Amino acid sequence: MQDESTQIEDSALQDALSPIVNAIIDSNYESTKEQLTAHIAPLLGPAIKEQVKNQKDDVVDALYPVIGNMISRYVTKTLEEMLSNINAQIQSGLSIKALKRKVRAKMQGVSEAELLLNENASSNIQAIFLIHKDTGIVLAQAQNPNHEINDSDMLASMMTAIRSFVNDWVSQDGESKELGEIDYSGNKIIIEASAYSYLAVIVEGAAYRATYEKIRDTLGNIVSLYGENIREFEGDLEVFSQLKVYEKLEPLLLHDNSAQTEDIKMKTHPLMYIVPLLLLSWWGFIMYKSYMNETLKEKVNTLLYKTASLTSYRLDTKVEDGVVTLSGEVPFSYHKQLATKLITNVRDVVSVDNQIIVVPTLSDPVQIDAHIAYLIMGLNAQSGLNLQYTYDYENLKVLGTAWSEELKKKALESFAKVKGITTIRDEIVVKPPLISKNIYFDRGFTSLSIEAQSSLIKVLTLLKYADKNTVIHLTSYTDLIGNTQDNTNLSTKRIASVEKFLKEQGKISNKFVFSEKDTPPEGIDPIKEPQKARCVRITYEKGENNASL
Amino acid sequence: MLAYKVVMVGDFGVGKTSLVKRFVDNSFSEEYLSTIGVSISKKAINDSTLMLWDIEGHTEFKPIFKQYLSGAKGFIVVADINRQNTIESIQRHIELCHSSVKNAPICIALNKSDIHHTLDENDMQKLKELSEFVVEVYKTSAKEGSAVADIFNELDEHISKSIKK
Repeated sequence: MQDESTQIEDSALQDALSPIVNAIIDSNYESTKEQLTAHIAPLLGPAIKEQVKNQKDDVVDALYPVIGNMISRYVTKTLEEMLSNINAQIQSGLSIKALKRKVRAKMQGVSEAELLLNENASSNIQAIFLIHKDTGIVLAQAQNPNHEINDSDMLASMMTAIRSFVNDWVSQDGESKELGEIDYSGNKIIIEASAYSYLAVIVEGAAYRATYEKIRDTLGNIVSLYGENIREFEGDLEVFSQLKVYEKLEPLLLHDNSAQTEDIKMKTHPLMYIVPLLLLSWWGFIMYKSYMNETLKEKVNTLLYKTASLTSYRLDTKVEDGVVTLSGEVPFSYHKQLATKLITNVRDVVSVDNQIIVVPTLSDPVQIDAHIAYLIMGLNAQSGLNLQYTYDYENLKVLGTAWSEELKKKALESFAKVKGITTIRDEIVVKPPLISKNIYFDRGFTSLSIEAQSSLIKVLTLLKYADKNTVIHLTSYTDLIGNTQDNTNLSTKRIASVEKFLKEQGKISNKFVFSEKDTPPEGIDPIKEPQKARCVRITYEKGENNASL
Repeated sequence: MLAYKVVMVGDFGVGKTSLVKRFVDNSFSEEYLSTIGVSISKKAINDSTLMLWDIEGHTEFKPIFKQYLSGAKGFIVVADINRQNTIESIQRHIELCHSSVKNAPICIALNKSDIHHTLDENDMQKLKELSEFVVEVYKTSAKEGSAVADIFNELDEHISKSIKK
């Protein structure tokens, strides 16, 4: 009875005190928070230790998503530091290979170190397995349809065995160590483990930092979502296929196939596209220009070749942007001008730069001989020269006579201008013209008739070639008609008329010698030809009668 | 669809590997066995996929890796019907299994039963009573194939029931 009443009292007391005590505790907690913390703190360590000891896997799974990320951030930072170290090392190294890598890095917009790490690497996730840690049973999987693994169960079990073997073998002092990766001929299996499960990711080629991060994130996500199902896995796979765990793995498969290339795409510098484009257009322009130039060149060459007078000369053409440059040698400027004229009219020709050189090249002996013959003909056509020649290639010998040194000199100068003559042998004799001219008079007259004046002008032209010191003889003849005295008077006057005309018209300063004969000239019959008997004969002291008067 | 792990346990040379080979037609090469101490085979029966872990036989120089036992849904403890010492080891093997997986069902295979032996029903009963989790004791012959499928089927039936329960 007493017990019962005590119980009732206790209960009543409890009910009554509870709100008060709670209030006291609350207020006490507020005021002695620090004190309380100090009391509880020492208990926390052993409590966690105990929990870890008994429920290690639970603790690991609870912490995995947090710690996984923490570690991944730490690792990422460490890796970045490592990359910058490598970069520094690379910058100090200068070799052709390093230089090439530098250029590539600049063009792709990635760091050299990454390039160095990614060299020969192409990451490609082939398969992802979520494996139950103890049994090795595949809980969920995602595979690249092109590289499907036939027996994933066997692989998973075997890998689990290997994992267990290695972990047990390397574990020391109860400290747990995890197998992280299995490498085999360029491929690898990345193992990321949580407490009850692990992900085995089969990667073809190299794995990138981003790949590891994504794997870690995926496992973290799976553990936080399905951790309980995994822990309680007994063998029923139905649960996992219903939960569609594989859907969580598939993005990882896609991630590394696409994201990696996307990564590279993003990192590709825009110049990478512009430079080849520019190069391509430049190359196209060059090709077009070269084609146009070639076409025009062909046109010009054909035209030059088909023009008969130019066919035999080797003319070179260069075409640049419609400007035609001609070069070569032609014998006459006519040819040069012809070329310019022809090409200027060709379509698409902007201008002609004619660098053709005119080289008179009569090196053919026959041509040279003909040229000399032609020249001699020309020279002989004028009064005072009577020339012949012999031409033995390169050596010319000129013979004949010339009325004066002046004429001779002129003739020789003409020969000197002929190409193909090296030496000229001068055998020209200077001989002034022989003058013997009768000036006739009408009966009883002493003045000069028109015919007489005309004859005297001819004499004067010859006298130009005569030596000034030579003496001009004037001899008068009569027709024997009338008395001798009259005839002598007429003769004297007739000589004076001739002398006067010559001196006045010819302005000559030669010395004159007069002689008067009271006979007609030799061989003239004064009865038959009285008009030929009345005359004054002009003769030249020295000279050759080669002039036709 | 069930998938679980079954581990073969027994002394060296009792015929574990032969039993597995007789049972499955798909197995890893024995080279693995000598390398990491386990050979794994897969066999689908009924609605289950059995992953058979054939652990390297225990010798005094080579302790088995206990990790290989963990997670198993059932065990097959194998002994040579004609080698008494291997039969005596059964008790120790059962303890080993249960130290790893508590209350896991166990089938005992007394192998090489094609060879003349003196083991009788009484002895078999005694073996079955070694643990309340011993499902059944079979006389098997990997050579002739007798009772090989039975032992795996029996174990599967038992495990399947417990999983689906």
